[in-house]
Formats: sequence, structure tokens, C-alpha cells
Amino acid sequence: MIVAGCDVGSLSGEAVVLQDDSILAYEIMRVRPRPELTAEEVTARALAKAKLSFEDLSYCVSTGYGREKIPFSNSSISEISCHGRGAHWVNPNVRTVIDIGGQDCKVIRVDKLGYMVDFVMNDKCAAGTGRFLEGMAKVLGVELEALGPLGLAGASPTGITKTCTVLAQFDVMCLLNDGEDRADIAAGIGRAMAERITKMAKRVGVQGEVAMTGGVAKNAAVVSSLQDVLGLELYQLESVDPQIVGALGAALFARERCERQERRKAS
Amino acid sequence: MISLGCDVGTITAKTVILKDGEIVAFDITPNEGKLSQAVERSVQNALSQAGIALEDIENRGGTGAGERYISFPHVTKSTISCLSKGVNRTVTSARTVVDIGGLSTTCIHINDQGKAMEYRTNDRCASGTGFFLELAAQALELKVEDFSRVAASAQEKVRISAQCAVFGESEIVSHVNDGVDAASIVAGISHSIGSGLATTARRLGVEPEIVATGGVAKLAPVLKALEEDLGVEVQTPEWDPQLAAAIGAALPDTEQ
Amino acid sequence: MDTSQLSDRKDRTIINNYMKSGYMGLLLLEMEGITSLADLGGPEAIRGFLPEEFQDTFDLVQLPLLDVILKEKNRASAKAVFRTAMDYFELVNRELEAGKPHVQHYFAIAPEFMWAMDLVPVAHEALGAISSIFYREGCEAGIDRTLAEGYPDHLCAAQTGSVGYLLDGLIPKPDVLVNNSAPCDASNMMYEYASNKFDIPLVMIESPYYQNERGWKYAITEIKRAIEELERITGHTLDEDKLREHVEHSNEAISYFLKLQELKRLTPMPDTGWHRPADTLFLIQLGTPMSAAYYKALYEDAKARADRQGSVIPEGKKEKRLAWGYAWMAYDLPFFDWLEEEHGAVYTGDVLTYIPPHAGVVDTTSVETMIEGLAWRFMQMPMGRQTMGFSDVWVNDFVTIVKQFKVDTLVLAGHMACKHFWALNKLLSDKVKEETGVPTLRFEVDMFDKRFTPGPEMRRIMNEYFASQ
Repeated sequence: MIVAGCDVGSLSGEAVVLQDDSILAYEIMRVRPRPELTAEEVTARALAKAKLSFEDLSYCVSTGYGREKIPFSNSSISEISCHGRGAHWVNPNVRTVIDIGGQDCKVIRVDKLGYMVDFVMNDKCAAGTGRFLEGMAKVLGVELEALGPLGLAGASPTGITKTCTVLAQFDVMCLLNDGEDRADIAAGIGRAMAERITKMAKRVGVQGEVAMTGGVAKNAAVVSSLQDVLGLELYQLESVDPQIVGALGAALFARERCERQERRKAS
Repeated sequence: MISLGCDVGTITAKTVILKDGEIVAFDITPNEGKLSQAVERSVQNALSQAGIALEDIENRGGTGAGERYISFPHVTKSTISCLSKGVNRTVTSARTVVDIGGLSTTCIHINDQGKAMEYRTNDRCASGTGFFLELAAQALELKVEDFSRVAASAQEKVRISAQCAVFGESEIVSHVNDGVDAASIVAGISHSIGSGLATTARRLGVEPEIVATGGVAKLAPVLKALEEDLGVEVQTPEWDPQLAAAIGAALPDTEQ
Repeated sequence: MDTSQLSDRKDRTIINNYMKSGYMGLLLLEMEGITSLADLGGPEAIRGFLPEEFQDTFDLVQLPLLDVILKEKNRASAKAVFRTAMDYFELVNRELEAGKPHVQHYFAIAPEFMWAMDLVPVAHEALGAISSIFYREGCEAGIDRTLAEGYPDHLCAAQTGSVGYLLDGLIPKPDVLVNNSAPCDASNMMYEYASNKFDIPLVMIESPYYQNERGWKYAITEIKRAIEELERITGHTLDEDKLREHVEHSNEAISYFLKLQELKRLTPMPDTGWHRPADTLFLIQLGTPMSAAYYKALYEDAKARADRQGSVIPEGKKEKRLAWGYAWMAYDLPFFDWLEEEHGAVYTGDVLTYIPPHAGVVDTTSVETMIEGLAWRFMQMPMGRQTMGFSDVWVNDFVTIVKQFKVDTLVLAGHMACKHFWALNKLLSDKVKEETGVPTLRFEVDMFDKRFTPGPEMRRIMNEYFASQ
């Protein structure tokens, strides 16, 4: 049985093609103007990588922004459930998932089967999200991908006290003008992010292994700060790109629903 | 008597040179992240315009969030005082100043001498500020200066619901992607900022006559929205409203 | 309740810390020749001069606070603060050791009647808030612990410090909780939570809505009912002689408090501002001899200064008189000293250190007269007085404060989560403006958590304000 899951975010879209319990192929791309377009293109590309087409799919689940509007998906499931499920599949010991996306950040707790038990999310304000880092990278004059390594090189993280992303950017501008070390500033940015996320994580309760997903999981300075502030080691997804975890979870739900459908047909 | 005032804001550095109370030169230079350099350039531009050297100006005032980046000796003045005095110089009947800056909005009650009596400032959040307009302009692929012209042709205004400046930008992007025309979007943005300002103004209490200052005060649709919401006329000074604090900084009797 | 049913009160970490901090403060104040931490070689050196068992305590305490208390002008009040912290918590420790039932109660419920029942009453909020006042880390660990249980971060933090300490076993579990319905749902919910979580009986006293005869009669029945419930739960009864003894102490304390309040009308202001948060918090000691000693010491210090027309601001500065329309910030007592030194701005009153003069003396003739007097005073205590009924009490109190204390600026540093305050804040500033012409400066803080509006930010706001005047 071949199934797929697709996840449309604010900045990127992902798709995963699953056969039984193996990932056949996956794709990540920048979003198109409308979610339906993103979903279709990213799923088509993932299928093409596996040398398959839409006809080969038994079931597809969509998640993320505009998930109900995807014409080729069979059902839609919240990205919170999908992230939890996906991370748990990679490591069944995972019970807490920290997902920092482009425009929101969430902490999800899952049970031993990977089903969501509790969560807390911030989607009202850009603090603690990928946007925060994007803005900061711009002010520091580096590429987003370079922000993490720069931060790791920082010896003493500069304190960043403003919560508002925008106001914090002005503060960073002043720090640069004052001649503060850029690596230290980048480290301070990672730390500010980590403190915000940790506050959220404590609300939901950190249990078991903690996995980090979403684009920001690739920022080494944030990960390092987060481990520091949380006081534990994060499980870092190596075998699977952390950015595709939502789509992976969607694919797992697709498999589950497809199997259920088959059982009902058989009985 | 010649004096110089420099207002180092969050988005632009402004310099004004006054001679016997009249503006003889002024300059507005975007910071673009480099505050000290922007200040230097702004001051140099104003000095060249006036055909005068810095050494020949004894009275110099500085203000704004980035005031400490002014390298030459000057008197540090409070921004609230500068805005108040800056407006009072030509509008002695002004009793409320509504300043819409780069990262904060402030409402001030002033007396006939241009002294600040009471004020309220929102600097916890960038919602409704110049910064938001910059983001919006980028999303629309326009310049903020074009907004007045573009909004003039709007048939309707689209609703912007996000409070956060950063998320507001995403909302604009999705409107653009949905094919909504720029005029309606700009009208919607102006309306949202204008009514947000009206709320802040009402929190302090609105006392006519009201004068708007700051870069955002140059946008006619925003002022119109503010006026409609408050139900009171909102004036802009005959000089560039973005210069209010710099003018106040140049005036010799502005409090420190 | 027989002794076997009492909680084991082994969790004394915080109480011991407070006791030791008091002692350590006194030791520092006794050291020869130091008027700041920079003397004798700096903080490290000074720490070295302390007996070993107090060096850990030194490491907890805010260094800027120690600097402030060593100044000549602040010494007398500092001695009072540290002495009372030491004595009070020593008393609490002794009484807990003696195996008496332990009550934790809302800070604005004066505890005389509970002492008179041979219980050990300690204000729950103070157990957290005193950490804010003294320590570098404040009570943030307690706050975060409570938030981790699911308490929302947009509600008042008043009890979160102490509840967090309960959760982490840093303060003893009480045998009974006593709360009153003032000021708000958030605080009431915290007591309910603690009661359910730790299976502790909760006695609720309903605060009357109105400051009138009917309200008073109701308060009397409520206090009586609370006494009955405590009798039922603990098996202890109210002793008339003990009640008289404790009420005499609190009469003395309140009378000094009110005399001190009178002195705040004077120009120049004779009372230093740094200790105001402690002035509120140590109301919890009412009924004990410590509390009378505390307010007496503060009064005498201010009186001596007033008699020689001394001031608390540097020579040559013009005195600016501030009233805090909400209250103080617990985490930065040096801030109030800084206002005096930097801006000549003195602290007149706030909502938590204002007690109307008629709250005065309780008639000690009989149990009946004492309960009636205590009930009336219960209605006048900070928080309780202003937060029930309409906004008129809070608003009018401030018009009175501004007029009587000759205030020239009203500062509303509002507690971020207080819906009572934010609902009436414009009414308050409008009315004060209308009646007295005095302007208002407004900003948000979290009274117990420095992370929300840190010290440097508050100084920036005040600098901007004074620069614009």
C-alpha cells in the first residue's frame, strides 16, 4: 500500500510518500501563492522521485495551512497531531515534540503510540518563530542558514530582552552599532528563542525523549541554547529531515485510515 | 541665531537647521541598520544645504531612540519635549500631538507654551507603526511614499485582522495572492492603523486641536481614518511632519 | 486535629532563608566603617567577613539592595526590615516546632484571631513575595513551577511564587488554608487549587462589597464563621486573653503605621522610599510584637528626620512627590532609592501602603468588641478595601492621597494582570486630573517578576518622564 502526506506551511511545503513502513521519497519546496498549488506540486514532485504518480496512491492526508482545501487529499488532520505522530515514528521513545515553524511555535506531548495528548501553541505573535530568526538574520546581514553556525561561535551570548520581534531587531541594530560581537549577538538570539520556547514547554510538561522538528531545528545555536535552558539533551532527528515530520505524520495517518477502510470493506 | 537639531529614530535620522526660528535646511536619511553613519550623512546633508559648517553652530540638540549615536557635542533632549515644542513653534493652538514613529506611537497633551503636560506611549509592540508600513510596502512591491496616491483610487478596503506587524505582512501577502488590488489593500492598512491610533489617542483623551507628526503622518489615508474614527479634525503642520522632534531638538528652550 | 494529623512541617528552606537573610542584613549593618559594598575591598571581601553559615545567604541576596541599605539615610529603616524578618520567621519556626496547626492565609486577613486560637498563621503570598524583595532570582523559580502546572501567564503572579514553593517542598504544607474573596478570582482560584492539590481544608471568608454599616455587619458574621470553622477543623478554640494580647500588639502597630502615614504629608518627605514593599508585606505580622516594633522603628526614623526638617533627597535637588496609583515593584527596591538620588523623587503613597485613619484602634473590652473592631479593620486592609464594590473607593482614596500628600505626579505602574486596576485606571487618572490637575504617567509591570519590565527599562521610562517635565 502506497500512501502520501502533504504539509503546507507559511514558508515551505512538504510531501512524503510512504510504502508500508518505509519512506519511498520526500520533497521540500518554497510555498506557491495558494496552498492547493503548493500541495499539488510538492506531492507530484515527491511521487516523481519515487517514479510514481497520483494514481498509485491508495490514500492521501493533507495537513497545515489550507488543508481542507486540497482537492486530491482524502482527509485532513491538524498539523499538531501530524507532527507528534511523525516525530514518534522516527523515535518511539519520543513523548514531547518541540516544533518551531515559520510563523508559529508549538510544544506537543504524545502518548506511547504517538497520539497527541496535550499541546501549547503560539500563533499570535512572531516571537519564538522562524520569522524572528529571519528578521534577525537580515539585521545581522547573514543568510538564515548561517545564523546557527555564527551563534555557535559566540563565546558569551548577548542578552536580548525585548519580546517583540520587531523591537528586538532595533535593539540588535544598536548592539551592532555599538560594536558588539556578531557571534555573541547570534548566540544571544538563539538563547532568547530558547527561553521563550522553554517557557511554553514547561506549560505542557516535558516528558520522555524530546524531539525538535520544523525548520528551526536546523539552527544549531537554537538547539544548543534550548538544550542548555531545558537542561536536557534533545533528540535530534538524523535519519529524517526535521522539516518533513508533519508530512510524515500525515502519511502515517493516511496509512492508518487506508488500513481501516480496507478492513471495513473486507468485513 | 542658528541652531541644529538631530532626531535619531528607529528607521530614519532627521536633521533640521533653524535660523531665527525658521527652517533653513533639513534632511531625512534612512538608517538601513547603520545608525552612526546615517546620522553623519544626515547632518552633513543639512549643513551643505544651509551652506554652513558644524563648528559655526553653537546650539545643537539631539533626541530619539538612537540619540547616543550622535558623535558631536550636543544637548540631549527628551523626545516628548522635542515633539511638543516642535509642534508648538508654528501651531500654538495645538493641544494634542499624535506621533506615529518607526517603532512606537505616542500621544501628548501640550499647553500653549509647548510644554508636555501628560503623555501615553505604546512601545511594547510594533503594531500600527512605520515599521509595519515598511513591511507592507515590501509585500506590495511599492514604496511607502506611494501609499497616498495608490489608496486614492480604492473602491473598498480589505480587512487586516492581524495585530502583529509581522503577521500583518503575511496577511497582506495572502491578499495579494488572492488577487486583491493594491489600492484596496493600502486602504485597508491605512484604516487599520488609523483606528488603532484613534484608540491610543482616546486612552489619553483627545483635546483639540490635534496635530499629527512622524513619518506615518504623511499618509493622507491614515490621517483620514484617524479623523473619521475620532470625529475630530486632525491637522498636519505645513512643514514635513517627520521633522517635528528634530525641530524641537533645535529650539533653544526645549527642556532636557 | 490531633498532632498525628498535622502536616510535617519539615519543608522550611524558604522560611530559614528569610530568617537568615534578616540576621545577615543586621550583621552587615553592624560592620564598622562600611557605607557601601565598595568599602573594605568590595562584595567578595565583605562576604568573606561574614560567618561561614551566612555566606550562602549573601549569595542569594541582591547586591544593589545591600548597597542601598548601607547608606546612612537608609540604615535605620534597614535595621527595622532585617530585624523584623529575622524575629518574625524565628517565631514562626518556633511555633511550627511546637506542633501547632499551621495556617496559611491571604495576606490582607489580619491574623490576630488565628494566633489567639493557638495556631501558626503565615501569609501565603508573603512566603513567595519576600523572595522577590530580597533575592537576585526573586521568586521566579516558584512562578515558573506554577506556570508549568498550567497556571496561565496572563493572570496575577501574587500566589504563584508561594504555590510553586509548595509544589517543590520549599515551604511547609499548611494544615488549613484561609482565604477571603477579595481581591479577585485569580487569587481565589489559587487557594482552591492548593486546597485540592494538597488535600488541605480551605476556609473562605466572604469580603463585603460595600464600605458601610451593612458591609461591616456582614464582615463580623463572616469572621465569626471563620473562627467556628477553624475550631471545627483544628479542635482549637479562641482564647479571650490571647486575643486581647495580640490585638494590643496590632493596635500598637497600626497606630504607628498611621502616625507614619501622617508624616508623609510633610515637605520635605521624611520617610525613605526603598522599604515600601516591605511595609505592605510586614502587615502580615500584625498581632505579633515584631510588627509593632517594625512600624515604631520606621516612625521614629521618619519623625527624627522631620523634626530637623531633613530630607531623603540630595542637597540642591527640587523635591518631586510621586504617588503610585497601583503599588510598588517587589523586585527592585533600589529603584525607589534611585528615584530619590537621581531625580529627587520621593515616594508618598500607594494602594498597598494606604490605610484610612479610621481603621484605627480596636476596642479590647470583650471578645465581641474585638471581633467587631477586627472585622472593620479587615475591611480597610489594602487590597480588600479597594477591590470590592465599585471603583469609587480606589479612585477617591487617590484623590485624597494626592491632596493630602501634596503629590505632583501620579504613577500608574499597573500590575499587568490586574483586571480590577486596568478597568478603572482611566477613571482614576481622569478624576485625579479633574480634582487636582495632577498628570499621570502610565506603564505596565509584573509586581513580582522582574522579567516583564526589568529595572533598566523602568529607569529609562522615568528618565524620559522627568526629562520631559
